Amino acid sequence: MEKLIELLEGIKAGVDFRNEKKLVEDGLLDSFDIVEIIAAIDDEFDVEIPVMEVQPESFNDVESLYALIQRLSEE
Amino acid sequence: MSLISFPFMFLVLITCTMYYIVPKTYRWIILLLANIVFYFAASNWLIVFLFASIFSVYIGGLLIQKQTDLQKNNIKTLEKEQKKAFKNKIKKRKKWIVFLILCVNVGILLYLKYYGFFVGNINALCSALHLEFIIPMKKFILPLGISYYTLMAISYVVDVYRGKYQASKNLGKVALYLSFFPQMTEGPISRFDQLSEQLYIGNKFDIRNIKCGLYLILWGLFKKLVIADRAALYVNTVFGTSIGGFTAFLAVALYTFQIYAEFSGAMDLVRGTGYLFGIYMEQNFAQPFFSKTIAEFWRRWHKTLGTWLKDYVFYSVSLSSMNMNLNRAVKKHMKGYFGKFILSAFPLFFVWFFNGFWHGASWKYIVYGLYYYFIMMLGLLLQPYFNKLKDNLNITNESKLYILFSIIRTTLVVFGGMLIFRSHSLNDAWTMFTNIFAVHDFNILIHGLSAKDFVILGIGFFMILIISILKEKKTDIYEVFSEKSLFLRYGIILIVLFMIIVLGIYGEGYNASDFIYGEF
Amino acid sequence: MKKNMKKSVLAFLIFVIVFLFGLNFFSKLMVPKDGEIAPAINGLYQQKKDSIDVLVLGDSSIYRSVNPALIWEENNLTSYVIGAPSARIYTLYYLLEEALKKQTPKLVVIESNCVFNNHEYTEGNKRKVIDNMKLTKNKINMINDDVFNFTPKQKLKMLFPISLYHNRYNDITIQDVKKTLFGYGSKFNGFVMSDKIKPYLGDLDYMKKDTEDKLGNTERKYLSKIESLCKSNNISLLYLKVPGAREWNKTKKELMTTYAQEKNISYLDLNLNMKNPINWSVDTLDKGVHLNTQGAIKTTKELNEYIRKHYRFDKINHDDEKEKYDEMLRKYHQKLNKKHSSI
Repeated sequence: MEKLIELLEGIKAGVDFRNEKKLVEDGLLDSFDIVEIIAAIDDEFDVEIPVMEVQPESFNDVESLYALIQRLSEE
Repeated sequence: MSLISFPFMFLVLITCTMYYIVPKTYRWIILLLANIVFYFAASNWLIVFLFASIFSVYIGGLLIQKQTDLQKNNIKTLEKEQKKAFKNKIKKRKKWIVFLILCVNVGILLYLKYYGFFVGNINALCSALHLEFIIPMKKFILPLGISYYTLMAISYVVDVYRGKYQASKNLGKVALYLSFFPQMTEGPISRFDQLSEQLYIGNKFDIRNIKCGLYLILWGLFKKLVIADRAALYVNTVFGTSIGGFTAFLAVALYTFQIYAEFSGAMDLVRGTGYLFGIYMEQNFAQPFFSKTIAEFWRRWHKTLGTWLKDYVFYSVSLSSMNMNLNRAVKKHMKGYFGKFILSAFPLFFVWFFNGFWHGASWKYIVYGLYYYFIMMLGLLLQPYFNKLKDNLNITNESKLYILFSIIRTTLVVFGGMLIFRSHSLNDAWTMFTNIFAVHDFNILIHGLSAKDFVILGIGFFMILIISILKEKKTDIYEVFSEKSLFLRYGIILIVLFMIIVLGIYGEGYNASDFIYGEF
Repeated sequence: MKKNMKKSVLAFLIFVIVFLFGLNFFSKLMVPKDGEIAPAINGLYQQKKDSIDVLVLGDSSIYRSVNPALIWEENNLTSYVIGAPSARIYTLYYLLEEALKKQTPKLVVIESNCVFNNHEYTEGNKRKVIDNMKLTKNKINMINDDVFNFTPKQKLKMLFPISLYHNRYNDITIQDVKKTLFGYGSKFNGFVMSDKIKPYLGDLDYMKKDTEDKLGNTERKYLSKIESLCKSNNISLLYLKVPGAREWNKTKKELMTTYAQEKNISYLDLNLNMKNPINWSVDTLDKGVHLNTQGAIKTTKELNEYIRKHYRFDKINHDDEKEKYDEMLRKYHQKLNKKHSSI
């Protein structure tokens, strides 16, 4: 989790990833950021996030994103 | 059958009456019949292409679904090693199915819409290389709305492939979704999960929907007939001539106004018609001219095209293994901002290329798309410097003046795009662009519009502006309007109605100008 | 709830009514008000009820030939002229129906040329009559009459003239608004003055010429419609042919004479036997098609004499109209003298 937050902060500085619950809906992350995040996750966690999983709900807060990574790595 | 014609109104009236007369379970059949009548009246036997799309994605969807279900049912019984192999096998099969279905649908579109473009270019290339090789030219009549429903068809199979929703077992549902007649001519490009259920279940009669629909239709007619077609009178006389100076600049500005009023007016008409059946369709515009950047503009202008491109072009390319590898390579060699830049630059090229090419089969449209691409990339590249400059000048993003500056800057860039879009060729566009600066010309009253016409356009502008500001403030216009007194409501309706009847550009003496976006 | 419903329905009905009134207003506003026929028809509506003694209907030749001011001066009769460009006899029938709604003339004069008009009857010339008529059953009957040959689309456009004329918004002036609100009419009860002279240089023997002209069945049908309308309203009917060197000939005259005799209706042909005949080198404004004011003086004089000789109207009380007609006569003379002095 900490690793993920660190990763996110590296991509988009100045966003309160710990507390923000509507990262996508409030426009804090745009589609470019999401692509970058997915690329970084692929590198760091060795988890490939397929297009069908790119939904706002999964990227709106860190917990959801972490859950997604967990789920995908288990599959 | 144009959206603004008596046959269309008649069709809507009949369909609407029938829709609410028959029992709810049969209402979707009325809609489907109306779709067929509408399409056949508009495109005659070219309806077979629509049927081809419907059947192909219906069957394709089911085949993909079968694979997905196969995977779901069998995966638990397998060992871990086998699991992966099985999954890959299924994935490969699914990919093949999607590929085939896309080939059918995109193939039809490419053949009918782009045949002339490709053949023309191949022939030109051959003659440039002194090869005696000429492919005969053909010109096809395009089936109505093929550019729109093809995108919708693609979104359906790809969504099923991605597992966003299950394929529909009901052919009627798929057919309804792809052929819903109000959106046939100019969109919006709806999504299956958003629209199909609404079309299929019989909606109950609600006077609110009817009122809302009629208001929207009235407003759409106003924008089209009073504003867009009036602005077009000026635009059509100035574009394609050697007129320059402010007169030409005004033509570009008025064309932008025209196409906005026209396209958003058409959307109001389409969505209003939808409301009459209790069907909600996606908004296609969100006050685009309040945008501070070009990227924002395209998130607010022709939204359903933008999100379609984002979902099916941008993510497909940017999350492809090719882009991921490119990304890794870039990161190894370049750090920081530039790496990020490349990461978006690559997939975005495809987005803007498609955007341009979708609008029309010619280099002009490709340049139109790439024009926005280059401006956005330039902006992205220079962003760090701009930020520094802003810091030095003590400008904050929130300052009102800076916001105004950004809006005007964005609008001017859009003017540039519209200039390309409207010009006959790239050459013409360039000539007009240079003429704007080359000469002094303020004779704006000799090009088809009188001072009275400009006053009418001005009134129209302010009406749109007020509505836009209200919408921007998230006001529910319908709610606000409904709360007004009966007297005021009917008064406003009467004024708008008579403005349309008296000041609308229709009937003899004018060339009936179809909605611009209907051609695509 | 029920009360609300009632209120909504009532409001909607009021809305529809206001809409229809508005539509009517804007339609009237947008219809062109220039030319000769628009003021003539609109002026007819302005006339007081039962105030017209002699109603004169015809094509464009009539409003150049018959001057109500002079009929008033000489015979002390009130009259009104409606000449519709290239009018056919069936146009006159509907105009007569329209006029009889409010007027009870003693004498109706019909210009016979309309029976033989066979040049193209353009939509524009049909519209000049129809668009200026009030939307009543008569107008709807007229639009629907097959004799006019309107397509369904044309019929619809005639019911809603605004669909054609709304693009005139740039030409609308405050004068148009005033005319629409308060009505307007013709200065000389349909007669149009012109001091232009363009001599007729053609053959003066036109009344000796035989042609292939025929009196068609359609024309007969509408002639008898006019006749029975007059009969049932106790109106004397006179078929008149004003001088016209280009349009008239012996054959037409003979056809008309025979027809009138058959039906026992008076027929007056001013192409022959005028006491003070038309001088075709000065009395025409356009080489023999239409008469000018001087030609009209001669023609009206002859008509006046004929009326005096053949009709005995009961003593009519014209107290209400006297002032208006005297004023019209004064204006006529004023304009006539002004023109003379300026030459």
